[in-house]
Amino acid sequence: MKRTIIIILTCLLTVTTVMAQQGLKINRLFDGHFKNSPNVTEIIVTGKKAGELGLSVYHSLATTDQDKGELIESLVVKDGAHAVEKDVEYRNGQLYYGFYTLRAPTKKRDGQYLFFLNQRLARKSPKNVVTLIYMEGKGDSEQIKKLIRK
Amino acid sequence: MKKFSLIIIAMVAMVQAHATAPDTVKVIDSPSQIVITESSSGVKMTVTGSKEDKDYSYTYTVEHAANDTVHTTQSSDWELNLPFMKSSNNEFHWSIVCSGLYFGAGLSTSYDLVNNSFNWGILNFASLNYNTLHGQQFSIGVGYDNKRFSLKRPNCFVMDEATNIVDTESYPEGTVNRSSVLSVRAIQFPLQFQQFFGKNFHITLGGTMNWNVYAKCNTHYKVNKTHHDVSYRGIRQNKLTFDVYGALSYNRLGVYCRYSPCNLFKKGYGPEIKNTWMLGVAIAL
Repeated sequence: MKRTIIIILTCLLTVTTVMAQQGLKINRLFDGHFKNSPNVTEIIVTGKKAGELGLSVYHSLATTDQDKGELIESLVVKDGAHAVEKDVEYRNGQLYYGFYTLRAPTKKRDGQYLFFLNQRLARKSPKNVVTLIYMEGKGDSEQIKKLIRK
Repeated sequence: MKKFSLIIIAMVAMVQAHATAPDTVKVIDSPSQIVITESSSGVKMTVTGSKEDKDYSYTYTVEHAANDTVHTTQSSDWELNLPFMKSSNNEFHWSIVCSGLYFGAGLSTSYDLVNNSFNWGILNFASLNYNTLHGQQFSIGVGYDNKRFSLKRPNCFVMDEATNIVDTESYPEGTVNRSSVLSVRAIQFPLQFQQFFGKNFHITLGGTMNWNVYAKCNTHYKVNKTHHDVSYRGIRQNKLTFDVYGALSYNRLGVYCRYSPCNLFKKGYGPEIKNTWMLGVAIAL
């Protein structure tokens, strides 16, 4: 019985997470698109663990595959066009990083944030990694940035 | 961004004439977007939207001449911190470490024979560890162990040098300052499992195979103001014995318990010293 309840709750949580991302172009990346890709690391954190950082949803993708990186970038740019606030930097004509506030937090609703980083374009120590993070949380954009910046 | 006030200060330096023109200051409250485009021909900055007028647009362009030297301060890299990736970024499954200095004292079930015992060693000079990154660690290593057993008085160790058989007998009459000790040194091969609870606390369970490379009996006494110190080497100890142990550790300090079920002497070559327990403290186990 307990197991059944846990399975139902997990399904509900997954559906809720996906629902929150509905309408975004990047949603196609998070629907299992890279499920069997060897060059992609995907992390989904919700519930108590995410709550410890003031988030309700944390969903990240990191890939070392250049084609996948380019796909992610193109979708992020499309979603970023509708952002209410954005902080972006292009290097050599390519998006280096983009932090997008898709929805500002209110008392009733969590904020919605999207972050993209192409570490190939880093100046100090470039890495062959493109990272995409989707987050929902009560914090404002500066607080969310602090979570993902050393 | 909305509260952001942009101050553009354009400084025109007439370097060759050594004359400085007055500053030009442009203030735009709460711009909605600022785009800075840097290219080989120059720098272009476009500001759109302002507090007063959403359709506001301002463009500022500085073009470089062919022989201009341009100094720019580039923004720093984004040092990414992935909050839920910490463990896998900073930890590795496999590692080689030196660990487990321990000191203990104990007792034996050979109560009629052994008075007390002492044990010290380094569990791992080097061990190969496998960490599951989920709170468990397995390791196999090589270390050193030293055990000392002191006999109950009035018994002392004696050895028949012809047969190398060790036995016990009473000290000679009138002796004082008496002690008789069996010392066994071993290279040990521990195999252990550790379960971590939080950052600081862990339990350790394991077993060791001891290769008893050296053993000696030493009997000391004083009679008529003369010291007698007799050492017996060539003892026939069991070359291989096995121990099991467990430990509780907090940070780098712990307590351990070690049980040795095997007899230290080969059968027929000495008294039975087995089923010994050691309790003690361990550092960096």
